Amino acid sequence: MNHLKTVLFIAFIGVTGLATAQTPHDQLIFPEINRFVMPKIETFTLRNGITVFLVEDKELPIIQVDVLVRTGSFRVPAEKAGLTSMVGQVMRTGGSTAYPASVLNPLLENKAASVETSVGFTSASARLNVLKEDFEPVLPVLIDLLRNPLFPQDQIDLAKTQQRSAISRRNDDVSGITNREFRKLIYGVNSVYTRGTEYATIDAVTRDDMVEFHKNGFVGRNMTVSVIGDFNTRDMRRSIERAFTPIPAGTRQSLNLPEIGYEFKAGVHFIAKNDVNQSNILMGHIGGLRNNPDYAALQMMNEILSGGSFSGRLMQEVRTNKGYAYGVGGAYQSGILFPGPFFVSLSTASASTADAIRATIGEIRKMQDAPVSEAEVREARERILNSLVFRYESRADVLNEKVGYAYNGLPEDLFDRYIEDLRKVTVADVQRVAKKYLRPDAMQILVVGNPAEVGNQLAAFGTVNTIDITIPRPAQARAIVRGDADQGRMWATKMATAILPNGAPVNRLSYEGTLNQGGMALQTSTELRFPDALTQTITTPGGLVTISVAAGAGSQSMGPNSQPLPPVFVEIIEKQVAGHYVNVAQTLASTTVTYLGTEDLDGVAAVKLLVEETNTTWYLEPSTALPLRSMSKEFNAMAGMEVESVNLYANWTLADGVMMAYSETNLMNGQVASSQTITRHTSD
Amino acid sequence: MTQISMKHVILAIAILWIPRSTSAQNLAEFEKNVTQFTLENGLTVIILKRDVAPVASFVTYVGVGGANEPVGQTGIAHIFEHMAFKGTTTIGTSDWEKEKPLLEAVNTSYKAWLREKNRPYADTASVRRLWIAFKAAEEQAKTYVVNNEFSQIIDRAGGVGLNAFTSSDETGYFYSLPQNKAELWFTLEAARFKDPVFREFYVEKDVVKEERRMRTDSNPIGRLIEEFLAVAYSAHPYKNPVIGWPSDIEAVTMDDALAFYSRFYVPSNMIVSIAGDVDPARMRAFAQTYFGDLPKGEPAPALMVKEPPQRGERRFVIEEESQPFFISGYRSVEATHPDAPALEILSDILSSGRTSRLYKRLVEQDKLALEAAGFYGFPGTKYQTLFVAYAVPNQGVSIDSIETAMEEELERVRSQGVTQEELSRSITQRRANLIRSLSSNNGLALSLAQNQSTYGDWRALFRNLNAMTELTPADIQRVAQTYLVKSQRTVGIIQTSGGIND
Repeated sequence: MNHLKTVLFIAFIGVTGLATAQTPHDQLIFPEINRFVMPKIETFTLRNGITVFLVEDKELPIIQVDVLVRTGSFRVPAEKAGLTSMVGQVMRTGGSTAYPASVLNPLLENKAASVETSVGFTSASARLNVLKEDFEPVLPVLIDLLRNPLFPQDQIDLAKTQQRSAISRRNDDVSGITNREFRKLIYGVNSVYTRGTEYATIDAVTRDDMVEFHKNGFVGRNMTVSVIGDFNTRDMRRSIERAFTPIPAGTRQSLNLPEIGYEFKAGVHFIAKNDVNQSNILMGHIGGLRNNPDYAALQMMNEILSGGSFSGRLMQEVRTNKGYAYGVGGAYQSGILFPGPFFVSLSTASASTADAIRATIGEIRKMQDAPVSEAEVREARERILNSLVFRYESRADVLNEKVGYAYNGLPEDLFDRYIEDLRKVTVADVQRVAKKYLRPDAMQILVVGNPAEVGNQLAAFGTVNTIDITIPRPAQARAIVRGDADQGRMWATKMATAILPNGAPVNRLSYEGTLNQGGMALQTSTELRFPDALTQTITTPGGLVTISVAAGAGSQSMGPNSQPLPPVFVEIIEKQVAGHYVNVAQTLASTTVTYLGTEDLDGVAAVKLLVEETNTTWYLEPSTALPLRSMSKEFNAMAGMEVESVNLYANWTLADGVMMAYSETNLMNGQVASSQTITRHTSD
Repeated sequence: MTQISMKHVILAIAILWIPRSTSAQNLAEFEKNVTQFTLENGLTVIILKRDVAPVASFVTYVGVGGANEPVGQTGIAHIFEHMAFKGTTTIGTSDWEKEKPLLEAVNTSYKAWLREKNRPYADTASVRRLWIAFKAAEEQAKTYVVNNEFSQIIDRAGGVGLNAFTSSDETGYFYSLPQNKAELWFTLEAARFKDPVFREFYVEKDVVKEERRMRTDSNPIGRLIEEFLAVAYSAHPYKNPVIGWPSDIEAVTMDDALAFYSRFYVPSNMIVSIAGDVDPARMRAFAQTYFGDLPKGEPAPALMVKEPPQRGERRFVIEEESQPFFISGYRSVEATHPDAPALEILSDILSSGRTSRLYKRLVEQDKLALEAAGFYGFPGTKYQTLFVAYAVPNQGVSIDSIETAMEEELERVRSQGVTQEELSRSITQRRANLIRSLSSNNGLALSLAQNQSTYGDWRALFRNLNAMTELTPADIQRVAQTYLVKSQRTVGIIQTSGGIND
């Protein structure tokens, strides 16, 4: 009797789980897992081609509408790269006919609702997320943005400014550089897959381009709409039909992407970045496609190489054993619409760059040279199968998977069939696919690192190709001017004589005066030694500052302290000296001068002369042939953009055979930047 | 063109002026699914039942962070976080009895090398000899290590999202499991914090050094922020980087880590938070079984350092290759201070969304910045924290013009205040964000733990929001006037060398 009672008591405790002893992890017995109840998905197609998926989820009072659009940046020619990013942005920021920007932002944000749009490589999307009670008033906003975006010029300008800023910053972040440049090594420099935005491509995008792109893409036959949230399917179906039916059907776009034509070859590439103490490494070659029958074996291979948190071979060896890296990982990627890459990425201290690369390639070779263990395959399979429950953590996960498969034309049981195959993958399969698809002999190795610290380490892997990532400046807009050559010659001679009446060459020109800049009036004493040298002393509140440029180098000093001038300043000063009207006057005979007619300046018909060598236009007073002003447009390295610089001249005074404008004002992009007055000058 | 009827107008006004309350997501409803209790040893446990999917997320939250580190040991909280994945006397070793003395030898030889290296007039040959001896001891100790066994157990069981973080205020460990394997979490977590073994300590330091190189040394913004905090704070440990100063990372030993752990990893300083498809009664039983015998220990030491008053504005400029950046931080107050809610609202009005002040002026109207924002509570919120305002200049824009525009916008708030519409908008957004955040187990588990840790009550997640509805525009203006003051700020600038920035 007692014995039975004890048994019953223990059984009772076991069932309720109370006051059990601590059990080590490998002795635990788990109960059955609760089942996930698949939600019902209502699917239907509108007359205009829009496919709709609805799933109820009443946990929270929210409704989300996602519109997936069959278009993307792959359709954009290289010379307009960046168009689609901006379309995605301005569709939202510019508002629409019924909801212009000034109305749209407060309307949405006061309700904590959001409507966002974006365009990616192979798809575009619009998303509405709103509290349930605001759904009916805000749904029309989504529809109008899809149908009637305004693309106002001010928002296009803003988007362009932001794109330019992003371009200027794209070399600040090491992983951004590495990912971008590695992609070019795999997919080609000038391919659809690697098209990069540049200043020139941003400049080339017009409002018409954006309108056209939107018109072709955002039509019914390209749209899939999915809705999830707290609603009743029947009511939501009615709302969606009513709202989306007016969208024109349009023409369905294809998602055909060009062949990549990859050629396996080994390569070692280096990009210098001076402000890091770590090498950022990406290495690999082309990967494959999802519809490869070896997909399951390849996923098993990936899992053994770098699956789990720290379980993969790469982490084990390169991080845990050797301490080379904080994170190392990679995979043979099987893309759906186009092949993915095979890659491994890691960061390591500069000094261990070569060792880390060797260790990584070593692990890849090991996958081919020797079969993996039964235990590894078993554990990898366990990891994948046991975490399958996370495939659907929410009803939204179910919906997103279904929509994604439909968009890409994949069969609904694709994932289930993969799991079936995975159960059957053997040790031999893993070695077979490693041998067939991995090419450690033909890896493209890319290192972004500190050249001083990395030194010669990469030579061990082959001839190092250095990649220059300097951001290309926009091509200067040079209008080809057809002018009167004779008139040009005549006026050039007149200008030269006006400035240098004696015709004698000037080697050195010295003058004293006052420089007005930034609200300060500073005494200056300047000596110009043509063609490109200068010494100038400026009396500043802090003391006497001397600037000196000669023979391609420059310095700035105050008292005993002297500092070299950055090359960019030296270049600017040299250009200023060479472009000084006195130097221009004495070199006019050997320059190409084009007469551009006359232009009215404050009632005077100024003569326009273009000096091609310096791309400067001179405006001469017709009776004296002295310059009234000069104008040039240049890419200013400091400003990072094209700048229009204008000099105004007045109070011409003769001394030592040289005419100087005793009043000179400089304007940059129309704003007064500085002015100077001269009190005396000498020359020889 | 949409017709605006009278009904719409009235509704619109109602929406503007009355904080929106939404049906199911109030505290009373939510509380029904929460079980909370404290064990005798002081461990707080919070369990949220949410059976949307057969999964659950588990969080261990410890009230220790960068701010609690001893002088000369910055980075130790984060290093211990790494150590918590190395196993125990039974997990991660093939023979603990043999491994134990070898680990002690590693520690002893490292300390000998460290001492010699840092002696004035250190003898290079001796240093080299001691380093070789240390490396040999490390090799030996490796013999009995079973690499990453702890994480592999979790991976094999189907666990996902295994990770941890260390901040200035706290340390968190988390992962998710299939819901039927909850007991696995309890047995592993209890083992890991009752019985940690600091194996591979010095190799792991190399990993931490790589992490530092990646996050800070090789990252322009990382460098700026590290400098920024060091200048903004004089005495308070918020000035130190959580990753640690390089020499401190080098100097930390296994003994230090053990001492640190013993002081701070006590149950009264820890919170367990679980959210998902679990049975609260079962979880309670597991908590008692596995955590009940965690020794109570002494209460964790409190941080006594108070940051002294700032006497004037602080500024610094980093000249380097990368693109310019502007950051400013104003001294403000800790999260539990009565002014904190108004500061949160102020940060929304300044930079949340396209209707915010800084976006409209600096990004959209003047096109000065690619991004401009203000936010309250950096680097942590348990102690006197900073209200930060930063901007990423557009190409060719000088830092001067950014700073001027920013200052003008802050002055507008100080002198003219904010509107009721802006205030209501902020509260509506916070309420909506709260609702949206309730759809993730991991997010919920972390959020409940954090509120419990910061405010002493997880209900603060809801109550703080309700308290905000009492605020008026005058309150927002007042905190702007009180805290956004020039003499109380630090300004940090990245200037591109050879660049336009004045």
